Amino acid sequence: MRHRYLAALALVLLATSPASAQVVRGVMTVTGAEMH
Amino acid sequence: MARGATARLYDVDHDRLKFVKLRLTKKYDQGTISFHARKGSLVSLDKLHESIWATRLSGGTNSGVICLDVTAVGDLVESDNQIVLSINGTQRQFVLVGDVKAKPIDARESVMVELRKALSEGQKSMSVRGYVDGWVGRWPAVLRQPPAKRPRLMVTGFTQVEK
Repeated sequence: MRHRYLAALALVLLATSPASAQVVRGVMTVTGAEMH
Repeated sequence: MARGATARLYDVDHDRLKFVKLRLTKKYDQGTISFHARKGSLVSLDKLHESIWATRLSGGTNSGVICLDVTAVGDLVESDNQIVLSINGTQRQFVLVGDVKAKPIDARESVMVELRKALSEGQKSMSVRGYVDGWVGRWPAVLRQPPAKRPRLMVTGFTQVEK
């Protein structure tokens, strides 16, 4: 699960598009059994 | 190790993509994922949503998102009794509000009143921080709703920026 989040975010960081981009930084708080 | 491998693979600096476990609860842990846009770029929340959706997160667990705390820079515009943050160099906007559902139990207090005052004093170019509405719920249900075109942002901090 953790790896999936990181991979997803890494892809997003690469694939920024000026037309739809919005934020300079962010912090996502997540929870889940998979993160034990 | 996985974080480092991911960063190397996708040419993302370590300090721009960081995972921190909080260990707040015994049963289900919580953690934060911090990310920074590369210099000269911005991160798209639409693409963030799309990318997480593409990982096909399974249901049936208590795994999910608690909140998404972001910082955006743009110009404040008041219309129809709403304050909107227009993001510099894009067509995107946030509707700034005093409260949203998607916030943690220990959420910071809104500073919407102070922001209105600053706007009335002529301050328009701002860096605004806050919680994005809609980013709360269990995976994958929380992702079924497409991201808002003009997300509501609960303002928890702001600073004036020079143009």
